[in-house]
Amino acid sequence: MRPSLLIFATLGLLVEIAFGETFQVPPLRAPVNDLAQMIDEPTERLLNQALRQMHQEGGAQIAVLTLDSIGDLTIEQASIQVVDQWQLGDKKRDDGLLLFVVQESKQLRIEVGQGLEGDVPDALAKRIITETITPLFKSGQFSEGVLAGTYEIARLANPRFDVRPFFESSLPSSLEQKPTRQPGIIDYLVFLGVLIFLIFTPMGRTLLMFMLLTRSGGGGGSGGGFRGGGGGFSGGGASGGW
Amino acid sequence: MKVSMSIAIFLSFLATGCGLRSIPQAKNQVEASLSEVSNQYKRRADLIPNLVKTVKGYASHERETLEAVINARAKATQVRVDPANLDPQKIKEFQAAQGSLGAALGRLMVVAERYPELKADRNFRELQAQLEGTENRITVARQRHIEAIKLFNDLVTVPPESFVNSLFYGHEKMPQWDVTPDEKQQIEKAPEVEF
Repeated sequence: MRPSLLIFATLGLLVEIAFGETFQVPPLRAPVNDLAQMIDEPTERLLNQALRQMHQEGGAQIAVLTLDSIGDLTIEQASIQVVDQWQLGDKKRDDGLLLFVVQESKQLRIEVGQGLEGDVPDALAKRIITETITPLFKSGQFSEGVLAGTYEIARLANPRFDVRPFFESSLPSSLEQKPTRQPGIIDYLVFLGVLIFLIFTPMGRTLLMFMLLTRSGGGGGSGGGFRGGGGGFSGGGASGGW
Repeated sequence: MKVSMSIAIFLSFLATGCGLRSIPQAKNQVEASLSEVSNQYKRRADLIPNLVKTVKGYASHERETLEAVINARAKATQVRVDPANLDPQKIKEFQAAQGSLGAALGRLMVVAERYPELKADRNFRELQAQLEGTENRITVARQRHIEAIKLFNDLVTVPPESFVNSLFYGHEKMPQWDVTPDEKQQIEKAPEVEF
């Protein structure tokens, strides 16, 4: 949490506001980013855990995003913007994958990272959409559709290991939290410094205001970060609708 | 004296990083992104023989449309661009050839709509998914190429980097891509193709 980073982030935000982008990519908070509230809580929890764990054990980095609307953009345009910003997957392996659902226009897309285009070719991505996901979506079973679709995707994207155990149940052993590092005196000093900067300088106060204003609720208690590793995308995958 | 002066100037530019590194880097990026564009066009061209064969199996009397695709493909594969040596005229030709191939393909996919058996063919559906994916890759690659050119043009025209450019490199602005009429037509047609 260096102040310079904060300034950078804020500047980026300002630039985006100034250019009047119609579509703002939401931040990557967890494997499942259910902004359109389409997925029920047990499914979300199971998926979050499965996808996070799979990624930690060296598997592909898979994320799910649901949005209410993407304005005038096509789903392909919005999707590439999301993955360009999230940079799912490892920088060297480019093994990121996004399942993207837009509620209003009833569209969905599987965006495949460059390194996975062999394991998840367009034709198979399309088949998962038309044969696994959309039949369930058509009958309003969104949680089931996302779960089944993500499972299929994960299976293809990780040919080297069995992904079923990750999905079968939320294992209590995997709920164990890793022991957190005890904060030392340096941490307190840095924290104090940031606090002073935020409260007592004019620039800090502006930043603080910004942070409070742009913060959206929810997403608490997810434990452990889920950040993109710099994976590249070149537009592979498939789109569909229900 | 003069030599040491210019060395000093050179080094100071090196230290401040006013384009001495970023201009060649931007140029390399433009070249790389153009190779990606032509790669993806090649990928599309490679799909066509199979696609034509599959469509022929169900809709052999759509000879005109099929031949248009084959001819456009032949033309498009002949025109190549050299990423290291960008010639505006050549780029225009390349664009026009790829654009008319895109349009011919668009017409073929519209025709395919009229054949339910073709649409149900598994092979055709897979080819169609691949084609859609490749068209999207082309769009993405072109977008990135356009952005790379813009970055390069900004570096060689906007101070302070432009001073470094005129002192050491003397690059000119690169021609930017635009959408050909054929492609415009194709873009407008695109939703029809999806089903």
